[in-house]
Amino acid sequence: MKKLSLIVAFVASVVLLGSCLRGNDPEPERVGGTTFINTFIEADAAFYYVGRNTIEGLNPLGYRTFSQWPIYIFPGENRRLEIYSTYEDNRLVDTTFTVQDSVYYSSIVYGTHDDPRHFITEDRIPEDVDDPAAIAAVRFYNLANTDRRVTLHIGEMEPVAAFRNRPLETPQTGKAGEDFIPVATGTYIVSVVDEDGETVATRESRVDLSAGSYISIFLTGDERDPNTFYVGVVPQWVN
Amino acid sequence: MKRNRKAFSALFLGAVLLAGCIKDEEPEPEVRSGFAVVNSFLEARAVQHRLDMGRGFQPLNQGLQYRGIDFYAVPSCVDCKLEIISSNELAQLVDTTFTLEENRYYTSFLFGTETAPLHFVTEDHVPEGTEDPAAIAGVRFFNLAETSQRVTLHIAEAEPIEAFRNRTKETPETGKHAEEFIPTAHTGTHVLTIQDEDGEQLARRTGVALDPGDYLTLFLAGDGGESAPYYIGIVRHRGIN
Repeated sequence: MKKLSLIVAFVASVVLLGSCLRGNDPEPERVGGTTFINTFIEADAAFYYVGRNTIEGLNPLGYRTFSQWPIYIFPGENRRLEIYSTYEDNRLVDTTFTVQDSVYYSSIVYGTHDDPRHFITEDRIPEDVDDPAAIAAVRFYNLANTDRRVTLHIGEMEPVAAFRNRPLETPQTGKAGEDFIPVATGTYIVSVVDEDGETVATRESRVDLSAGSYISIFLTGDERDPNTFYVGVVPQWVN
Repeated sequence: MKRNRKAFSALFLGAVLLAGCIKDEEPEPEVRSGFAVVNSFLEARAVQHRLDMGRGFQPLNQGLQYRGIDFYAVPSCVDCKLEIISSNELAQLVDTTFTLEENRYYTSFLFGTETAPLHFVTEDHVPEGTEDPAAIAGVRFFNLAETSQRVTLHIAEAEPIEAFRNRTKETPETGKHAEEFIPTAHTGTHVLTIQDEDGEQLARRTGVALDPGDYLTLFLAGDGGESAPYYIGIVRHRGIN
């Protein structure tokens, strides 16, 4: 009789405690994320909200800076992104976008308070690349408030066709120019030259395009003060 | 002995269990009203609000600056006395009384000049007949500028709302009269412009977010001079009901 109750107690405890056992919980894969790049010159900084929530580190994000780590946004459709200028809380961007799992994105804001512009790129390894870690690849944007068409010069290299005579991007040209274009690896002086051959801006330090580098290079600044022209370099996560 | 212990432990268990039900002094529900203050008084660097002889809303050495907007929760009261004091030699601009009902939102607007300071307090209601206040946006407009012109507020390219057309500088009566928010389905990010009766633009403001559930007071401030250019102020109400 005593034995029976012991057995019952044992079975009961096995049953009850069994629920505490964990099998191999699936680990969520946190790959992917969004790099936020602020090249909006008319304010010191910008505030970012996703789904009306602030994002740590982007609260605010200064001009000419970018989020150091890709920010994970839960995948789904119609994720709302708002960007506010620190100047009188101007809303620069109010958009929705679809976030897919395991994709890296970049959000790039630029333009003026009168004409704020923004686009989101998908940051992919170029197609037909056997070993992504063996190449270096670049994309180039003209995000400066200027009418000039500008060309990116990387060292003595012949300028890549896609990097020639780029006018100020529209959201469409920005999105269309999202592909990274492989270039010869090395360390280069990088400059941006206008259609008359005049140098608009030169990156003050050499840009390291060693194997495995995926880099966005952009021109920012404003024609009203030529001292503001600046060549930005953002190393990107890709997959 | 045995029975005694049983009774004792039952009593003890009961005491432990029921102890959780004992309530200490219940916190009194707070009796507050929402009170926003707007300073469109351009002749002083700053002003200080004092309600019911209490402590000033703002620290003494840094009042609410011109164009400043602030939000407070204040004890509700009948015949509350509001004083507004200018940073210019502490001149008293406003000395008035009004009632602040519990759980109601109010906004105080100060404008005018040192010789004729003007002030009114609005009750901030949800527009009548609104089913879901979070589904619509509401706007109202005051001309608090030092101007003799009639001004019209344009929200983006839309036809101006009737109540926002040809507004002369408010008096406390016209301001109070225009306190109702006008519901609009025209949400989004807008450029606001204010024009005089000749269609000339006095002020412009870009990137104004107007989402469902937003209730905004838009006002014109300034006198068009160099030190106080015309300016569109926005009160983004934290609550209305």
